Amino acid sequence: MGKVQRYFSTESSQEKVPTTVRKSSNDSPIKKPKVQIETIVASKRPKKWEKTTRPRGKFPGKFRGKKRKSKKPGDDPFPKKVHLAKEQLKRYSRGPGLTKAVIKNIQTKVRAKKIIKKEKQVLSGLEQAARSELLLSEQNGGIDVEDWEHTLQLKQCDIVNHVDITSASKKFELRLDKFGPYHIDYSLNGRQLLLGGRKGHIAALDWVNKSLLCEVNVTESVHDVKWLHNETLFAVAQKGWTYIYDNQGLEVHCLKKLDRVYSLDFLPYHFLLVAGHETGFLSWVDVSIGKIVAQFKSRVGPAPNVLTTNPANAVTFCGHSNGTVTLWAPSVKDPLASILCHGSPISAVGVDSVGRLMATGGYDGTLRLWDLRNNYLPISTCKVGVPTALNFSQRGMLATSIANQSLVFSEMGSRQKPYLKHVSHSNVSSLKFCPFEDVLGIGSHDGFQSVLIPGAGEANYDALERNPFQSKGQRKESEIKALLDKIQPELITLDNSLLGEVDTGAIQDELQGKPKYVKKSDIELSHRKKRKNAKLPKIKQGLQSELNIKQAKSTYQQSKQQEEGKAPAVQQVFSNPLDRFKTNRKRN
Amino acid sequence: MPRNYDPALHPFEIQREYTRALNAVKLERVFAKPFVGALDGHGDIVSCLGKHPNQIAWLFSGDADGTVKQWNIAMKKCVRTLKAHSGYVRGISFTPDGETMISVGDDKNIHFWDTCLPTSLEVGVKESAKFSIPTKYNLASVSSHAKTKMFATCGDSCLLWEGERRLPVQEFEWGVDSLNCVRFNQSQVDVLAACASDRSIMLYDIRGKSPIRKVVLSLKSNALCWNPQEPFVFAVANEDYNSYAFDMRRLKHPLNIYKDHVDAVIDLDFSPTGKELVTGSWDKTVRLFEVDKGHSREVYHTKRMQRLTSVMWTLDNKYILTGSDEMNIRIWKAKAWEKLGVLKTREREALSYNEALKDKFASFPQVKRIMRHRHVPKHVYQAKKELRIIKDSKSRKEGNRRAHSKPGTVPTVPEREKNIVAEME
Repeated sequence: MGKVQRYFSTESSQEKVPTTVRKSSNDSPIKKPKVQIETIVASKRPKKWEKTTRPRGKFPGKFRGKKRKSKKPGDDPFPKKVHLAKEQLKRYSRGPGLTKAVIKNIQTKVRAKKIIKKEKQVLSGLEQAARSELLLSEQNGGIDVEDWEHTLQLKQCDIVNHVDITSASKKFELRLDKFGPYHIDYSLNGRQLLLGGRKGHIAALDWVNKSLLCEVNVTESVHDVKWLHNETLFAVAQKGWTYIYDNQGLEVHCLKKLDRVYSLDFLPYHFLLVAGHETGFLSWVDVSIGKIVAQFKSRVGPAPNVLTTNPANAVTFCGHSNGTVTLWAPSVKDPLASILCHGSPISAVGVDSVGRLMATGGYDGTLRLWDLRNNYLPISTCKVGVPTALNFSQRGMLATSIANQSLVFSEMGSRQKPYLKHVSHSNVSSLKFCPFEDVLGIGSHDGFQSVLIPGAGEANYDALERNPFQSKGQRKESEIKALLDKIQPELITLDNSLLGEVDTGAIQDELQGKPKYVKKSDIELSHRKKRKNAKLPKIKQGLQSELNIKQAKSTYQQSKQQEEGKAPAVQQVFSNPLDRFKTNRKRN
Repeated sequence: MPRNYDPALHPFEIQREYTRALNAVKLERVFAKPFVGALDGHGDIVSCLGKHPNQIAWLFSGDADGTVKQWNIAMKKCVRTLKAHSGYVRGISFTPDGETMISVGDDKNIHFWDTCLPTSLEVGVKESAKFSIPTKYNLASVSSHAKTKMFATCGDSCLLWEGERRLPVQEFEWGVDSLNCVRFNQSQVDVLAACASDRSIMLYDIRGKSPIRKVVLSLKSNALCWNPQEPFVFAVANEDYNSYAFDMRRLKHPLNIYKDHVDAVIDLDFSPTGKELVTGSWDKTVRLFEVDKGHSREVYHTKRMQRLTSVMWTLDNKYILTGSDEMNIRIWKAKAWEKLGVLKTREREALSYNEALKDKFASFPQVKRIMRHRHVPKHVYQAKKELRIIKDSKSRKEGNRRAHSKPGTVPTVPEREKNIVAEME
């Protein structure tokens, strides 16, 4: 950090003012805290242009008293580049890049030069991106506690007491005990909230300034609600069909093909609304053109009412009652993968924002964490009770709800530890982190609660991607841009980087002279062999006898080997696939 | 606008870039409207175009009934009409200072004209040449020396003239056939190349007495052009539907062969950057080639444009001028999808971003397919098909012959050298 600090005046020189969420700062006096809590909010980092410690009228170079080659007024006071840590660069790296061996293999010098030049451009781009971290104005939140304390002991009231007024106002509760349980959803920029009560109550609101956008009762059961690409439209899975409403509560579309939908999800970059039907069907609807892109039956148990999408590669995850989680893409009729996660039905699935981890909850009362990158192996298991909802925050915290409790884990993986706990009045039905805010929204049987989880959200938003403070004009422009950049559903694959890689298989085929296409005339058509039922038992008999002979031979050989004193061949043990979840003691 | 370049906040990078690249390449095709305008006014076939060395907007064109017209390209207007020759105007060239235009024609005269417009000219009075040289030679082409007052003409032989002297300073002869195109090298100023109708291309040095060397191709070359950036390189338009680029030091091995036309190539010109090449052909199309590629990147045609007689790349590298059989001169954009006029900063940035994307994703099959697709007239399409069949059959036959004869007796000749007959010193 040493060199970086040159840019900044020391922290002590600046009075720490807990500012509001990227808005005007409130000079609210805070009590001397036992715990120090910073929500996203606090911009601890002094800005580069604030030269508080420097006397005016003097050049910084002189003030520092360091020897510099030239002391002309126009000269750069910091001529050398600021040191960049390797880890900082690594965060922005898109892959290993070119190795020396690869460059050596390039056939012509001209080509090699071109490639090396391009590689240099890429690297300098990465470096610039890493350097731009200096310009980030906000710092992520967190809680510092004394050694003898644990964050789990903190209640919401403790947290609220220690944060500024604006942040404190983000902890609120809506008592709606008539139409629950509630499903909730935050818009992509985290500014709007959508509530859907089971008994037909739908409300959309700007939760930051608590202004209601619309409130309707659809007079039939509501199963799920979902914001679409921006805050002007949302989808509601109702008893019969799925409807799309605008933010005034007017019904814009009725999607009759999405009937009896239990759960909805939305892929903003593909403009795909994913729906899990009661009948076990899965459908993807392109909301920009209103067409069903794909619709197929999951064929694994009944209704996949546990449905979520991987935000990093847009693959749909379905949890089933046989304990498996299946992965789906709209271009493939069969599941891309099927992971046996629990010995009991799956109760909830969650995937983190970078597509690294998956959390599953089963009715066996366990919460499991899975590595999605390589081989889908379990990372950790803990017994917490039956999780009814799971959600990852932008910075990787995991929230899970067990009955009327909401539990948040801060660090996932092997060092997983519970961070905060919140107890509601009634059972929790839905739970979501608000993007770009340190807020967790909890939909329960008797309403909605918004609680503070310091450090949950990303503090620095990218205004060209998702902007919580966007104006109407910006919203319109970003909508058009997003529509132009709409990714085709065929590009949804498990491995996201596939598109950027060289298709070596095709090249090899070409080198081997394999034809790209087979002409219709070249395909040999042969008659399908008709099964002759009369022969079938005979064939079976023959096969059986053959097997018997084989087995007899092998047992004979084994016994012979044993007689000769050789070690017997290790026999493969076929065990129940669920055995791997048993503890070692039991297996023995 | 606050930015955060953290990759976690920007998912689907490649997919989105790919989509943008696809959009960019589609937009390129949407905006590809290369035809800018036509210069109408000649009363006969446009036979030659002259590129003024200093003035970008000036164009001189000669036609088959002896008229030379001066145009202002920017205004698309004819500013002067000269009745220069009786019969074809065969060539137009300019002195290095750009003040004098030299024209030669079938009437065996060499005329010198002032390039500037006359200040006052009475109505109805025919403008006459500044100076004229009546000769006894056939004159098929003219080209000026880049530094001195000398110029070369060709016909039965290559002749070197100096200023207004009435007789040629020097005569180069090699063989008996007639020459149809002569060009001075503009950087290696004393070197000069000519195409002969005995299928050869000859090189001369005016400091010596005799030609340096020549190469014989299988068919006659129609036109020749030196690369303005690489003094050793020149390209010829050949009757065998192809154009060839040569290094003048190694004529035996052409640098490149430019294929795609389906009829004789009549004229060609390098872009001022020396990176691209425009060819006009008897098949009624204009094609643009990159010098290091073998096939055209662009083909221009219109329903009304007939057989091309001359092509020219303007000195600002932005436009192409073509003269054709049906008495018109056409102006085309060199980059078909380029937006003309002033660009706003955001517009320019967006366009350059799109260019970068197209370059990055150029080898993706979908992008490549859209980028490459060109509509061509039916006769070109059919002819192309036919040529492909001929080529396939030839290569099959050669393969068969090689397979059934003693190894080594049927050598493999590179495509570039197939039409080279001999190199002579």
